[in-house]
Amino acid sequence: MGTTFEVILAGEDLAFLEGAANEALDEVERLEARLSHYIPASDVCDLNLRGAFEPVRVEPATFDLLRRAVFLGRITGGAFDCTAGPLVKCWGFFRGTGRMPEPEAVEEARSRVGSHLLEFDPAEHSVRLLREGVEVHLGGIGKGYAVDRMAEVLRGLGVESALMHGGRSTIYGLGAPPDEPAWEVGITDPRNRETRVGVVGLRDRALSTSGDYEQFFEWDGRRYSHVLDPRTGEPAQGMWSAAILAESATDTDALSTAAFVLGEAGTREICEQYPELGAILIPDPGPGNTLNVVVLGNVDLRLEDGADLTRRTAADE
Amino acid sequence: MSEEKNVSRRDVLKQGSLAAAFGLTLPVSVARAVEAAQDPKGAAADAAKAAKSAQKVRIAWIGTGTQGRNDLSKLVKMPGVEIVAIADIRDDCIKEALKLAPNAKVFFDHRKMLEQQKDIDGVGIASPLDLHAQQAIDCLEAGKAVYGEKMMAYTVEDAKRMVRTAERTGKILQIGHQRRYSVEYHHAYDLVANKGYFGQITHVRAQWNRRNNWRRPLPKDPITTNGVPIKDADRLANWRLYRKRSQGLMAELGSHQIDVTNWFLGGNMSFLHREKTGKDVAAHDLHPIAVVGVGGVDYWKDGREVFDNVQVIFEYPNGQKLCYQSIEMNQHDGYAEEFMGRNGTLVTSEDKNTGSLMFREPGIQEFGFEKFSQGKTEVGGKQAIKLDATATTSQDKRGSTSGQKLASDPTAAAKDNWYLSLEDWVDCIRTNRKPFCDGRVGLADVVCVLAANEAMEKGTRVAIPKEAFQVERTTASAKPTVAPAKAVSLRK
Repeated sequence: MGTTFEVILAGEDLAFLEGAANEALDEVERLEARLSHYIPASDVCDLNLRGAFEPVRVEPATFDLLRRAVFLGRITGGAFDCTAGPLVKCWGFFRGTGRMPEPEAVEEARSRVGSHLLEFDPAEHSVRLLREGVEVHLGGIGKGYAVDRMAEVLRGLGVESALMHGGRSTIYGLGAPPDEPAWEVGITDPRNRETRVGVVGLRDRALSTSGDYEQFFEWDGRRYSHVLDPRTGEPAQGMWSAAILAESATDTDALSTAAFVLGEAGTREICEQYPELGAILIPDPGPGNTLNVVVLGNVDLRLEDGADLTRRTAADE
Repeated sequence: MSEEKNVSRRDVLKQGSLAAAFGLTLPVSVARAVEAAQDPKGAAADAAKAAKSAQKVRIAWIGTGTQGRNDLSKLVKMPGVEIVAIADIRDDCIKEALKLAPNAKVFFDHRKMLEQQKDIDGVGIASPLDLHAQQAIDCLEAGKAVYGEKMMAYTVEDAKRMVRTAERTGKILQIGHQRRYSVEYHHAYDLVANKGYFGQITHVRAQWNRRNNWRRPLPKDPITTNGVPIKDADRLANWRLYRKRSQGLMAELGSHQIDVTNWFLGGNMSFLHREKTGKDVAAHDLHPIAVVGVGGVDYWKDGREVFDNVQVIFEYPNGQKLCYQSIEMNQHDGYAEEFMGRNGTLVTSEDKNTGSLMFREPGIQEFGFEKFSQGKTEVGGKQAIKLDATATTSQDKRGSTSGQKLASDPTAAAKDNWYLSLEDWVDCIRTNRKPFCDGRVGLADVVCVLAANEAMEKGTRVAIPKEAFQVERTTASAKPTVAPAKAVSLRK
């Protein structure tokens, strides 16, 4: 998936743990063959190639994942969208570092974006693209899905303690390290990536982060992030980083992107609607202002001692 | 690329078929994939039409471990294919398989399945090796088409019984050597067998190296069958490591590459015959006449019984050699086959990162395929084989002469060979035709693998008599026998 997956296992039986880790990583390889945008025989490429002309049967698990992606798109009002590929290409973020597109090109791309352009047939587990040029891209959810599947494989083997991540942006803590309450994961300062602003504990829980530091370009003195707002066709503004915590890494992967796009108010609404969720937002504080950490919903963030921060929670409002 | 896109599918069809234009016998699914590469939209429209009228094919599957589930994951994507039943003894495998085929009826015994589920058209088999033959024969006798995973059978006699049963009942028996259904391998075969660009192939090197102990971790909870714990689950989950069920690395990995060698060398022989006599002869697989080898359990001393490293050399009738290696402690060079001819070398691999590469020998100026890289044409005045003339990094590493990459159009690979292999089997069922990779192909492979194992086991050169490949019962011993080196006088 164009990214590094890693699994850390705690325990005594090294041969078993190494075997288990290999099983988990083999699963990622199988998923890549099924979901990658770069492998021609994948479900995703097959759908994008033929889907506008005929319903394309995909594996039932791919079908379920696509439906989950559409569901997550719906609860975020379209801030996450697995069909945003044409926009990503238009802004030059697909295989490059980004560029300023012509407004007409953005308009054209937008006409090919939206989950209403996907038609699902559960009986045949087939999918149809209702317009030519519509593309499904699971980049914003596939990593999380792979992390969930890794956890499932490890659990099936009886592993009780493991930490795994996909590209460091989606992390899952299975159980906890021996004699500790949870896996501790640092939240970094988006502008000083060596500095931690705080720590969260993960126990059978996932954390995903989207940040404007991952990929961006600057034009006319402004930073344009690779995270596009599918609703407007423009790069999302106002957020430095957005992290979401939930039980499913599939969900956190997609929702962290959505939170980055939605900003504080929109993310708060979703957290209120789904109390299981937690969010840690670091909005753009504006020139000269102190870093501002917004904590929403179900999350226990321990701020780093001495960090130059202000902290607001829902209770402060 | 732009030129290729101009080739309309209709143009291709006008000429009969692309396969005919290649001068190749292609499996139907592969020919379709090649055609689809020329005109994806036209192909999609045709496929959509075909899908609507696709006759339902009801498939059952025996053995739902990793391999079986991978097979199922291809089948569930095919229009008109319905997985109606699965058979396995492991509850955990059944649970995973039901995620792929939620409507399948579950059986713990394939014979019960054949008795009770009457609407099955075809049965796939991906069980441990020693079970293949009886399960396949039971299915064929019950009137079902069979897709048997490779290696075909645990013994030569088992493989022969399978072929005899298939031929007596007239039922389809396809063996899962999926490289025989690869667009890229067919392109490569064309160069060796029809175009003859590499001249006489005298040596083949092949390897499948992994850094992997091949042992599956056992779940901490017991593996169960219908809720009851299975005793000695390791022997079942890791059957590949124990001789009762397994023929080791040669069978599980080597068999694919021996099969490709038999296929390609046979094609090269027909090319040489045409060169010499000017007459076309149908290509037949070439079979080795003897094998030597060394193997051992030398690194993973964990109680396994099959070798963790094998090195064998096969001799073919005209002096060609296949030098084969599979080791489990170092993955250098991964998996590939190298066909070394007087004029150059062709490297084939299922590894998408490697792809197929061609190398010219020093002093060989013109190597037919340069024509293609200059955009010259093959089919209907258009380019059919895409050759990327860009030197590759692996060529640089080898310090050899010009390395060139053989790349089929990416859309032609939109369905991988594994998919195409199963798709062709389904098409065989629909149209009641013989499979491209049938039981006789699978049998030849079993003969080669078991002769290699015998050579390593006994530390002697094992001659492989022609009769070993024959299905018909003969008075001569059909079993490979140990013979001194000078007994073979077929070399010139």
